[in-house]
Amino acid sequence: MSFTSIDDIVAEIGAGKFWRQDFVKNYAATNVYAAGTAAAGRWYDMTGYDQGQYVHGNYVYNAHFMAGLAGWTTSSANVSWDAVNTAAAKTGGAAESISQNTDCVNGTTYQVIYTIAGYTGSGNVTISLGGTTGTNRTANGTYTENIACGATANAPVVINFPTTLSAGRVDNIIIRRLLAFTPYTDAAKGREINVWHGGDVSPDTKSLMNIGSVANAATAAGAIVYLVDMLGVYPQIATNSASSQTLNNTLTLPRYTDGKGVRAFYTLSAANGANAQNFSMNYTAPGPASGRSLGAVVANTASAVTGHMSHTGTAAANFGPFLPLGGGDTGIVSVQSAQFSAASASAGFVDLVLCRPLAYIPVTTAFVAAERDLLTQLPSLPHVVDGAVIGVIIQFGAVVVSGNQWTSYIETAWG
Amino acid sequence: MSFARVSDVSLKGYDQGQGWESSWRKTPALASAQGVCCDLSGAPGNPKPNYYTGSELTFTPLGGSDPLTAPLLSKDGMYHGGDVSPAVKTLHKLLIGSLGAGVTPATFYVCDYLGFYPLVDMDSTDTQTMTNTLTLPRYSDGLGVQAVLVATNPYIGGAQFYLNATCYGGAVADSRIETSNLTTFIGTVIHSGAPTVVAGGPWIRMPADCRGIKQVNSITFTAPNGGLAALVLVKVLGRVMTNEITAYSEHLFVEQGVRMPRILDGAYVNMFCIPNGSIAGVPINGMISSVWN
Repeated sequence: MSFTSIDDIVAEIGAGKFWRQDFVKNYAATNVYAAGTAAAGRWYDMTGYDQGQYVHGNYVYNAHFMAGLAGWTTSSANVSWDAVNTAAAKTGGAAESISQNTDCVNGTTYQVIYTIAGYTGSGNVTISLGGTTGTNRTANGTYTENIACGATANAPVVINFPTTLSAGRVDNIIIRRLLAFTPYTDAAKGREINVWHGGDVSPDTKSLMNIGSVANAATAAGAIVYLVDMLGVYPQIATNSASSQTLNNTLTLPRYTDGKGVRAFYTLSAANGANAQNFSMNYTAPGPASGRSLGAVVANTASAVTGHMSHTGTAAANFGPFLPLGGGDTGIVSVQSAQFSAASASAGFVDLVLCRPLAYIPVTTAFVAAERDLLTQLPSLPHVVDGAVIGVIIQFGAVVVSGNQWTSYIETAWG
Repeated sequence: MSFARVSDVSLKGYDQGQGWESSWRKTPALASAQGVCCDLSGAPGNPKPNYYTGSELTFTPLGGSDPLTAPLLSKDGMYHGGDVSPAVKTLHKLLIGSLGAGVTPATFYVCDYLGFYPLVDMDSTDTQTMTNTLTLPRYSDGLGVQAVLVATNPYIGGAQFYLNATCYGGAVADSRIETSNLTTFIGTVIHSGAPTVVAGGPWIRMPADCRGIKQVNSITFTAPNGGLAALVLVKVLGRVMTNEITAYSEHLFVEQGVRMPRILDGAYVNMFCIPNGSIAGVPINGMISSVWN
């Protein structure tokens, strides 16, 4: 059960059932999402920005080597972290490898992307998934392959370096199942997004007690910082297609499994270029009620900013931060298909995210800390369920530029 | 035990004398910059300044009551009433203000300073290995403990660095690579944010699976940065803000946004500040109150 009184809260926190977490979100040009010229009034998904850069749907932890080789196993000390280039680097004259177990499924095909840089010497660099080896690579470049996961136990992703490669590095290793729902939890995929909230506490019930944020520049002020429980994603819906794109729901919601209160937004993962286009989707609402459609025509906006939730903004038919549900619907259980009304000029992609909204906080003025007390100031105490992945989306209040940041915290308690 | 109900706070803390209130005043001597976090523990005033004196790269605890192990004891920080175990002490109130626009609006972090590694050479690109003969005096498992690099000599800035640390639970991890700001002043947190550089927050960012720092094993700069620094380990107790130079700000940690930060026996309590500009010569003062049961 949850708290029964303020006295109960005092007693539970006094017993140590409390967690405080500081975090920073930094809109930076060097991140996974490359910062561009952002527009006031639009919402941006901060998943690809520090701290905790992550590409939606990635089965790999620490794919960008932003903080050492955490999560990876190396064949020897000849594979080490290149801190300057934030990559895994190979040296020496022996064959080497770097690997990480995944939960890819034998026989299922995944998109595999990785970058080779600093290639010196000769020989084939390869990537394998579950024992299925991809194409031999002998030069610098970013490579995209489709690999059917093999039967090797724990479905490891392995990058092999030959003896004849005297030096080289790999980076940005992405494995995702396109258009297939990929659930997030704080101990598995998507955990880099998460603002840590204190771990599992069941059978206690955890609540968000206080949140705060401060902007480091005038252009970062006038913003709304919104915390959501990121439940999962349908990666890589193409914007340059006017056809209905069928989504796979082999994996289902990890939390809020009845779909109540679950909302959706999509975020640009590759620039889509100009062209007027509307977005629609077919989904199942709680009930369950299948075959549901959005409650309004939703206009997509051309954008060059990855992370832009391009259905939001101040233009006609923009909705934000969440897509408008059909009349009477109380959430989303799953999404069956998505469609743009026209093809975009460029081969852009969006990631369709399902989330459960938790709380938001307006940040009014640069360097003036905004705080929300969710017990006495805005009584709500939103629940943070076991496994929650607390992510951040922000409505920008001005033309946010690279280097703008929001220094923030959350405080949770349970009982 | 801790408090069982709100009324216990006034009953125990005030009627029965299980509480303490101290005044404090800091008047930093050195400049700072808007949005760049500063360590107020080294500023002149009351409590007395902390100069991070100790053996090079050797973990040096703060707090407690033994002058043979710590250069500054619990009583040398913002005094919170001494040891109360087996009772449990809670930060109750913080009054804070500054009548200068150099400081306000500002964000303050009240911290238990656990210890530090002095004399980190920010010009050296060698990996600098820490000595950890002594360990964390409080929060000994490292859960929730954060690291912060404070300049103790002027620096140039612009270089990058990272830590190798042992996290809560025992895993060893590298931090995210951090970038030094160009602020150059003693007392500033060199990796804290400024709009013109890609910098982080007040605390060095560890990977997602690291829930706190048990000890730091090494620090490496990838290019010369200039200056010396102390690498400090802290446990954040709370964050408070001041908004107006004409008004003090009062925070209640029990009744207002219930959080009740626990102050352990031996805690060395002091503050970091993200100011609105240069804090040089600008008094910052207030009161700190604790209660226990």
